[in-house]
Amino acid sequence: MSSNPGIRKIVIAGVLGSIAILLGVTQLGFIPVPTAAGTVTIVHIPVIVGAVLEGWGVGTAIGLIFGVTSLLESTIPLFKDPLVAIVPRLFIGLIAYLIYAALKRKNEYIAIGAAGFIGSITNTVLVLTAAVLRNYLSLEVAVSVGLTNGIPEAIVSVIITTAVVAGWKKLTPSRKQKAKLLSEEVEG
Amino acid sequence: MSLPEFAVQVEQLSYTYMKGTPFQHDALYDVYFHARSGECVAIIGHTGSGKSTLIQHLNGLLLPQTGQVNVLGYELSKSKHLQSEIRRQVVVLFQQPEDQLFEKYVADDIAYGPLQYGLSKKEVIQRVKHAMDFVGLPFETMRNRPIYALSGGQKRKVALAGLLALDPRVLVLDEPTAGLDPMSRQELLYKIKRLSRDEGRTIIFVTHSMEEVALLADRVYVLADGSNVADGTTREIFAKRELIHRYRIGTPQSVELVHTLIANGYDMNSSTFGVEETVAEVSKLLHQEVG
Amino acid sequence: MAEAFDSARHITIGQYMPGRSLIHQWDSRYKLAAFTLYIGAVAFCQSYAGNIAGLAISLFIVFLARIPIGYALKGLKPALPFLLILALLQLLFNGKVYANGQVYWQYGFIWLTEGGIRLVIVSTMRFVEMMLLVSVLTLTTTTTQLARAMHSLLRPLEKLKVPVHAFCMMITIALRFVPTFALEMDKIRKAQAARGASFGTIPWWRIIKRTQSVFPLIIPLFQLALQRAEQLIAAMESRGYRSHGRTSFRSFEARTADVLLLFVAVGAAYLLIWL
Repeated sequence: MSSNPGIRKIVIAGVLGSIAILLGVTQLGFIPVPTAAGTVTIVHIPVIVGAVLEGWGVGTAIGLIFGVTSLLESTIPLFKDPLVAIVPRLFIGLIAYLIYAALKRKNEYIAIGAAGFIGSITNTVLVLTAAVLRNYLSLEVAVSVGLTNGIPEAIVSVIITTAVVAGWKKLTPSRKQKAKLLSEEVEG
Repeated sequence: MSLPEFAVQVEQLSYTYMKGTPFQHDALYDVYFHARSGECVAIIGHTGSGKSTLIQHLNGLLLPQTGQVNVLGYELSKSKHLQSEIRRQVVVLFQQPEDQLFEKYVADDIAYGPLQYGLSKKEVIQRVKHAMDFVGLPFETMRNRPIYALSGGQKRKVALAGLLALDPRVLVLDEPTAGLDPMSRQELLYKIKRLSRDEGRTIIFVTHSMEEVALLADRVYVLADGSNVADGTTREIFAKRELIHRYRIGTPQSVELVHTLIANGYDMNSSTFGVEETVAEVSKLLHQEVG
Repeated sequence: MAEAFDSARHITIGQYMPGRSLIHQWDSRYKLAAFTLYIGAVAFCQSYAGNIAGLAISLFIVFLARIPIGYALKGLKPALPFLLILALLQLLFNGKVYANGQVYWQYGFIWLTEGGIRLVIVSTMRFVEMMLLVSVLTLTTTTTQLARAMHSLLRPLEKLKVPVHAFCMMITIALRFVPTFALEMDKIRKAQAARGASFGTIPWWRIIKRTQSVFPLIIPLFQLALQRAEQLIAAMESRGYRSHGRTSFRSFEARTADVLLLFVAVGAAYLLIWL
């Protein structure tokens, strides 16, 4: 990557970074659920979208913004540690992009979904790993949080990432061509 | 349940944004507004006149700080738990509604509202079909179209259909034709007229265009700087020349013509408005001159 | 049209509190460097002594910045329940790590060790220190100053082909758009509410419904953001934007006091690591 990334990347990174900040600062980024961690987050989704659209550099940059916002705005003491809040988030973009690039040729639609899923899992796993390594959580607690929170988060991530990216790129999945409303038999 | 005489009654409504902060802003002061069931009422006024604020009170998005807002028999500040019911019967189409579409396929986005209210799938499909056919997006061909493939005008139709699918008694429209090409504009205005005349729904719309007012509205409210300035039937408002000039509202070309002729000494009925009427009056004048 | 800011007023990324204290006037480049270094030191400090010193220094900094101590600690209130839960969990379950030190009590998974207790106390102290430090930094520095400081500090990295300018431009864009998108989000929320979307009224146990209620908000927001991005890209390109050779309207000048303070900070950081 040259020392002068094009205007496209800068702007997309900035705009999606802005969304990341907004989500992190308002309650829109966190959906309260009755699980261990208390919320399902969607703040990592701009990172994944940025990575899929413009590459791993953009993804990493947005990840940094996500991390710093998390550090500054979170009330959970866990995230006041830069090693837990920032470092893991730098990898979300990279991994999401790799997954997307690898699967793109087979089926772009699935590639996007996979990036959404794995990207979210990356966030969950790396953050929890950092938390364990820094002795904030024990392994058992981390694993249980990871499962109860990580899976729903990943599912939500897939749905939103696919809707946003596929919609933006004007893609359609190869099978589904019908509206959800009409895909089943009408009840009599 | 029979329809109340007044679909909307607003009395002495005041609203201040960010009260108590240094950014305080009085948006509405002692405003009144009434719409009878089945009427079509227009709200006109400059940007900053408080139109959007008033509109948001009509379906409970904003609750009155002082004053009363009565909608379809419900007193708004009191019935907080009826909020969702009110929103089903009084729908609001905001500006640039095409921005709010989020589903992939046309039918799904339109179905969103009715599904939220728990209607059965069968009923929802019926409603969606009816709404789509009404706005000019034939159900059979358009239901499975991806929304991103639609033009701006078509997307706006989808947004409108989404509201119609709720079968509302009152429709509030904030500058519904803003940004549309002339043909789409005409089409939309015609549909709104049908909603009012043929289906008897109460229509309240905000506009800057006097042509639209002339075409659709039974009565008009003029707002400026957060207060009422004038109200009356469309005819009455257009006749008030000084008013129109003072608030620089602008008049349809037909009304301008009439006023200019009167100013030049021709004897004409000053409350003439509407293209057909004006043509008739001017023809009469011409015949007098010639004959 | 102040009405537009009704919800956006809640959006403040680290409030700025104007003042003329020593910290306020500190050249933001040195300030940023010093704080980063010091915060880094705090992050790695594991001992009691170190953290007590750290806490004292942090409080002193708050005092220097002439920020009322109550205000700086305001951020602690919402965090209290989490702190307690975390402390409890750590105390009970993380103690095992220090099993080779002094053990006070043990039962099944639960180990109450000296190391565990130290962990809890140190973590809590660290948290308070971080909070104070980060608060002081954001309270005494405007986002513009921070952005420029970052740009300035990172410039040498350009020699290593790191895209510093691009990065800082990105931050500027991101910050600039936050209020804009906040407004748009408001608009979208109102429009969706007006057609039956329910926000905040869904009972807490209906997880799926709650999650679904987010889609009509977030998806249009993304679409809007991307549209704006395209507009901005087109505008920048057509105005011949280039990342090299750009000049600024205002420039920095460092004074001795600024540099001295930096050394003080470095000293403090060293002290912490040493203790």
